[in-house]
Amino acid sequence: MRPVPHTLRAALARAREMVHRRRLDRELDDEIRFHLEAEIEHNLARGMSPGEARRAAAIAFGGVQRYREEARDARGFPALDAVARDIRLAVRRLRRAPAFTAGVIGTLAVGLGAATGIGALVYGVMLRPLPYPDPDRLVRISVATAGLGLTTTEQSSGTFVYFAQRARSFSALGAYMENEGIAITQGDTPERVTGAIVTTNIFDLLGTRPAAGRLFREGDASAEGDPVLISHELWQRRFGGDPQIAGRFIELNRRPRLILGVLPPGFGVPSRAAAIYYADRIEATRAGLGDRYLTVVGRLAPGVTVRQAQAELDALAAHLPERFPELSAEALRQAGFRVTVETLRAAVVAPVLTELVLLAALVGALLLIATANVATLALLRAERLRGEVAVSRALGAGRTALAQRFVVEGLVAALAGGVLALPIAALAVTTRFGFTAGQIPRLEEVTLTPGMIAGLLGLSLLIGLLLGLVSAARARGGGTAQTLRGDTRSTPARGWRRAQEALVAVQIALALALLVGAGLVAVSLLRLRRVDLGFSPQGAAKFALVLPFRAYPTYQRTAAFHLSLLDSLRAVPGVSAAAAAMQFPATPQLLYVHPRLEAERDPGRSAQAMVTANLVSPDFFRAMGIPLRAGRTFLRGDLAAPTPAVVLGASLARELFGTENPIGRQVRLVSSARYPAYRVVGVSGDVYGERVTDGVLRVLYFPLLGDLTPGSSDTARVPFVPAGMHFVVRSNLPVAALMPAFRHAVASLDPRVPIWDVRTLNAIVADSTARTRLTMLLLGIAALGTLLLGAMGLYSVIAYAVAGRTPEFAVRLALGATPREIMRSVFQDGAIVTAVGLAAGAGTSLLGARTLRAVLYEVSPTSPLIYAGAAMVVLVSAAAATYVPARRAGNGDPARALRGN
Amino acid sequence: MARTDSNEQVLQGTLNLLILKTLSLAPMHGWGLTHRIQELSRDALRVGQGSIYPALVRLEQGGLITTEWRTTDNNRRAKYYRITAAGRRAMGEELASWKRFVGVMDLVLAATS
Repeated sequence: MRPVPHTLRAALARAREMVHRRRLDRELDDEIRFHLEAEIEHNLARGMSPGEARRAAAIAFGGVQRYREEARDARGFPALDAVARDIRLAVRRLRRAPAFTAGVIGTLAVGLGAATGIGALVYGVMLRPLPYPDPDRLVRISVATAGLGLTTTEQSSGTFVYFAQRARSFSALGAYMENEGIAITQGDTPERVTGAIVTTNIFDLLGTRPAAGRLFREGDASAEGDPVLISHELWQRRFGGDPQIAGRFIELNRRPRLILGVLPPGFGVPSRAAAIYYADRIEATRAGLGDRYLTVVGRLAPGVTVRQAQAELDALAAHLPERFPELSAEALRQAGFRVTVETLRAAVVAPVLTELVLLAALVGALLLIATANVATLALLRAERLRGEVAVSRALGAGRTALAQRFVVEGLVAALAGGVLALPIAALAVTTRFGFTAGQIPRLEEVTLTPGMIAGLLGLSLLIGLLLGLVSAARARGGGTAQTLRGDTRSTPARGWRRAQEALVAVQIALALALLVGAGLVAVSLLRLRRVDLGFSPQGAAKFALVLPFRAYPTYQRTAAFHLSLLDSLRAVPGVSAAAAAMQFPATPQLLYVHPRLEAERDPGRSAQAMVTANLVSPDFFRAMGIPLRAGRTFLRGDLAAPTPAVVLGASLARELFGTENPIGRQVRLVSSARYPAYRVVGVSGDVYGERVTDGVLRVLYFPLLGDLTPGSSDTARVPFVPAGMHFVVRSNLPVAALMPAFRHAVASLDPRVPIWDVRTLNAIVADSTARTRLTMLLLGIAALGTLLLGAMGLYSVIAYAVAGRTPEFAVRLALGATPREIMRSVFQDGAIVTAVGLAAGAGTSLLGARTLRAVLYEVSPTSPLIYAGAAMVVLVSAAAATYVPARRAGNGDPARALRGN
Repeated sequence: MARTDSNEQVLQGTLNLLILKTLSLAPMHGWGLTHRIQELSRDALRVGQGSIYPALVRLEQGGLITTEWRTTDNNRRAKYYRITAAGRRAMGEELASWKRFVGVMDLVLAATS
C-alpha cells in the first residue's frame, strides 16, 4: 500500500516540513542515535562487551546512511514528490524492459518525426494562411478554356475591364501579372529581377501596409516617369533598409524610376520573387482567348457570398459576345469558356490538391501505424506483467494506483519518443526531403513552428496516455486469484488476442496500400524517365535574357541582338552549337496561337485548339538535338518571303494534315488577318511542356532570322517580338566554366542586359519530374516504415502466442506430432492475420489509388501486377516474421517444456 | 524481471501492517517498535532495523500515524509514534487485503503441489 495524503491538513504538514527540513534532519539524526544507544545498552545488558555491543547494534540497524537517506527521501512536497517518484519508478521499470521501451520510443520517434516533417512541408507549402486581413473575403476570378487545351486560368485585359466595370458583387477587383524581364541597370553588374505589373488598387484590396514610404494610389498608373514600389528584400539588399527610401531613384532597364515605397517583408503577390512593382491602368486592349496574362483578384462586397458573385459573373459572361467580336457565342462555346469565382485560399491550394490530400493521408497513416504498433507492444507487455499486477492487487494496490503506474510509464516512454522525433522532424525539414527550392513552390519557407513542436509533444503524450490506459486495462483483466493460481503466461484472453491481431491486420493493410501507392508512382517515374523528351539533354546548358522594350522595340532590333550574340557564343572555345528560342521544352509554355489550314481542298480546317507557339533560330533543332522528321529548318530569306516559313511539330502536322505531306502546304492564324499565310518547310520531332504527364506539345515554330532590314516597317510578319529569349549552348565543357565567357559575350553587346536561369538541360529534365519524385519518395518511406512495423507487430504477436502455447506444443510433440506440423499450425495463425490485412489493404488501395491519378503516368491505378507485387512483398515479410517463432515452436524440447511452466 | 519489485512490495506492505498493528496496541518509539516487531515476526526486519524509519516517515506523511517527543523511563528524549483514526481504518483494509493474499497464496500452493 502506498499512503496517499488525502487531506489539506496533510499537505500543509508536508509543506511545513519543507520549511523545517533542517530541523527534521536533526531530529532524525537524534532519533537514530537514540535507537543505536538503546540497542547498545540492550546488548550490554545481555552481557556483550562494549565493542561487541556497538558492532552488533550497527549490524542490526543495517546501513545508517542508507536508511537516513531513505527516510529523508520519503519527505518533501506531496504532489510533486509523488510525481517525481512515479517518474523515477517508471524510468526504472522501463529500463528493465529494454525491448519494449526501445520499440515504443523508436516507433514514436520515427513515426511522429516523419509525420511532423511531412506536416511541416504540407503546412509551409500549401496551408500557411495568406497574410492578408479578412482573407476569407478575398476571391480569385479565373477563366478556364478547357476546350482550347490551355491550362492557364488568367484573364485578358478585355474581360478583366469588362467584369470590373459591371460586377456589383465586389467592393474592388484588381489584377496583376508577373514580368520577368526587368533589369536593375545601376551599379557595376546589371541584375535581372522579377517584376510585377499591378492595378493601383491591388494593395488596398489585399489590405497591405507599406514597410516604408507609401503604396500605389489612383493616378500612379498614369504618373510621369512610371514610379515603382520595391520589395522589402530589395530594399534591404540594395538600399541597406534606408528609411528615407521614398523619393530616391532606381535605374530599371536604363531609366531612373522614382521609388514611392517598400512592400512588407514576405509579400507574395504575384510571387515572393517579385522585387519591382509597376502600376498599370489596364485598358481593354485585347480580349482574345490566347491573350490572357492577368490574374484577377477581388474582395467580396459586404454580405455577398461566393455563390452570388459566381451567379452575377455567369450572367455577365453571357453578354461578352455583344462587347467583343472575337468572343462570339460560338467561340466561347467551343473554347469551353467558363468564369469561376473561388476563395483566394482555395485558388492557392488547388494546383497542389492531389499532393495535399496524399500527404495528409500519409501523415494519418504514419500516425495510425505508430499508434497501432505501440498499442501492440503495450498489450503484449501488459500481458507479461499480469502476474506481477495480480500480486500487487492482492497486496491492496488500488485500481487507480495501478492505472497511474501504467499511465506514467506510457507518458514517460511516449514523451521520450516525441522528444527524439524532434531532431528527425528537424532533419526532414532542413534537408527538405532532398529537394531544392524552386522545384516545389514555397519550399524555402518550410519551418518547424513552435505550434508544430507543441503539437508533436502533445500528440506523443496523448499516445502515451492511451498506451497506459490500454496496458492497465489489459493487465487488470481476469480475476486476481485465477491469475495467480494459473500460469500467467498462458494464452491470452480471446478478446485481447483478437484486438492484437486486429492491430497487426491494420498495419498489414496500410503497408499493402502504401506499397501499392509507392509501386504505382515508382512505375510512373520509371516510365517518365524512359520517355524520350524529344531533345538530348546531355552536354547542354541554357540561360535566358530579356531585352528592354525601349532600346529594342522591334523584331528587327531584337533579332539583330540575338543573332550577334549567337555568333559570339559559337566563337567561345568548346561550344559546338548555340541557338535561341522564345519558349523552352520541358518548362512552362506561355505563348499560344490558333492555326488553321490555308488549303484549296479543305478551306475551313483548323487545329482543334490553341497550340504552343515558338520562335527559334535556325540552329535550334540541331542544338537541342530535336530531329527533323521531314523538310528542313529555317534558311536565310525564309522570313522576307511572301509566305514566311514555319516548322511544325510532328503531332501538329499530323493533326492538320493527317497522312498527307505537309511540306509546302500553307497555314494561317485563326482570326488574325494582319499576319500572312505561312508555308510549312519542315516537321520536327515532338517535345513536351512543363509536365510529361500532360502529353506532347503541338508546336508551331516561327523563325528568328535577320532577313528584315532594320528600317523596314514590315514588322507584322510573325506574331511575336522576341524580346525575351532562352539560349541553349551545347558543349562538352561544364557550364560553370563557360558562364564567364557567356556573360562577357552578352556584356560586349550590351553591358546592361543581365542573364538568368542558367541551368543544364539535365537539371531541367530532373526538375520536370520533381513532383512525381517527391510523391514517390514520401510514399516509399512510408511504405517501408509501415512494412517494417507491420512485420515487427506480426512477429511480436506470433512469438508471444507461441511462448504461451509452449506446453501445448510440447504435449503434441510428445504425443507424436512432427515439428513440421507444429510449425504449420503456427504459420496458419500468422496466415489468417496476414490474409485479413491483405484483403483490407487491397480495398484501401483501390480507393486510395484514385487520389494518385494526377501523378501517375501510363500506369493504371488498378494495375494487377503492382497489386500482386506489393502483396508478395507483404507476404514474404509476414512469412519471415512468422518463421522465427514457428521454428522455435517446432524445435521445442517436449521434456523441458512439460517440466517447466 | 519484476521480481525485486514485488519482493520489496511484499515486504513494504507487511512492514506497514506490522507497524500499524503494533502501534494500535500502544504508542511507542522507533527502537521499541523494532523489538516488538521482531518479537512478533523474526523475518520482517531481517534487512535491518533501520528500515522502519523510512516506513515511519511514509506512514506519517500519509496521516496514518502522528509523532511527539517524550521522555523515556530512563529519562531520555525519544520520538514516540501513535496511530491515528485514519491509521486504524487503513490497518483494517490492510488486514483484509493481507488475508486475501494469504488465501490466494494457499490456493497457489494447493494448485502447484
